[in-house]
Amino acid sequence: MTSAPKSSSVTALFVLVGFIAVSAGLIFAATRVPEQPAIPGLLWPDPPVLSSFSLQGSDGARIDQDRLKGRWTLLFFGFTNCPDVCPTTLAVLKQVAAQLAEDPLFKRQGQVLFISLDPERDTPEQMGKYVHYFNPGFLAATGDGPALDAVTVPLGVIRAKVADASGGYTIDHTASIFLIDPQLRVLGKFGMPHTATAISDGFRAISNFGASR
Amino acid sequence: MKRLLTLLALLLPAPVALACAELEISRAWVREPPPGAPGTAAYFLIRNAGSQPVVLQGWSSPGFAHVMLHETVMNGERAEMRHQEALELAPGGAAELRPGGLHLMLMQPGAPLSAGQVVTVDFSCNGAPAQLSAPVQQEAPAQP
Repeated sequence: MTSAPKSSSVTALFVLVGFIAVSAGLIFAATRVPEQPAIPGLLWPDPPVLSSFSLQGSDGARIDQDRLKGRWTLLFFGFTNCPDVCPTTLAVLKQVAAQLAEDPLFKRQGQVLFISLDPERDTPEQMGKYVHYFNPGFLAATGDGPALDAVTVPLGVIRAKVADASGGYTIDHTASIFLIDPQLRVLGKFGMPHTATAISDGFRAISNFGASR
Repeated sequence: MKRLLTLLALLLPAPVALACAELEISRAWVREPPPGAPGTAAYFLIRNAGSQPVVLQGWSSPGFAHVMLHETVMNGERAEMRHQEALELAPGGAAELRPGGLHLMLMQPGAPLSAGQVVTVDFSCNGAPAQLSAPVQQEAPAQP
């Protein structure tokens, strides 16, 4: 009869060891630093998040956070007096939109937004004509300094007015293309030089990654 | 007399013109400006096939109020425009003007510009007048 307590204490020991092992595993899983998946351009973990902003859209309507919610937005900043980087990048985005035309997510929820950092010279009408030359579905918007800051600051976008040799000015600016998810998280950033294939592949990989998180 | 002729040959502008006759320009194009854009850019490959260095500057075009040689330079993520006074090519040297890099900025066209037109650009090559022409296109010419 002395074997019964011994057997139950062995059982209890096994239960205890098992409990410790499982707990340790759970603690390890919970405290483990999330790994950055190997997706070029992915901003993860802790992506920046856009809060509220309000810009004047080229179609007459406001472009604000609600126009981005529920959509996957490729966002680029520039200005129409920019003869090199801006048309070059919009031509790349035109190719991207063509490459993603059959992507189910882009087809349903994709959009391309160009934000002018030069509200002094760029009117909404002018920007509308400018972006629609590349793709009639592209959106364009601008706003005054504080309205632009509401978008540029969370993204870390720089804009600097610089005098040029002809007596006018140019705007040095961040030339990355951003990918914003339906919850306004900035999940992707693609740097120069831009190529359509890299951005299309990035869109597919990052939207696939972000849709489940 | 022979020495005098040699001296004259050195003083005359002929070698300059000769140096500039050996400039090779290829793959030239001007991006068709989107409507509402007050300017565009010209791109080309330029090679000095001569045996003397050349300095190219003083850009202008009958179709535009301002023509400037600019270089887009990346400073981290920030694209900056740097004005270049001149393009200098050593003998055998070449430069590529391409989107996102060195380019001729063509600002304020006198008339709307569309694909199929040809833009001429005047410049000076070692002080002698020179000219290039580039077709207006929506896209860069295909790589050879």
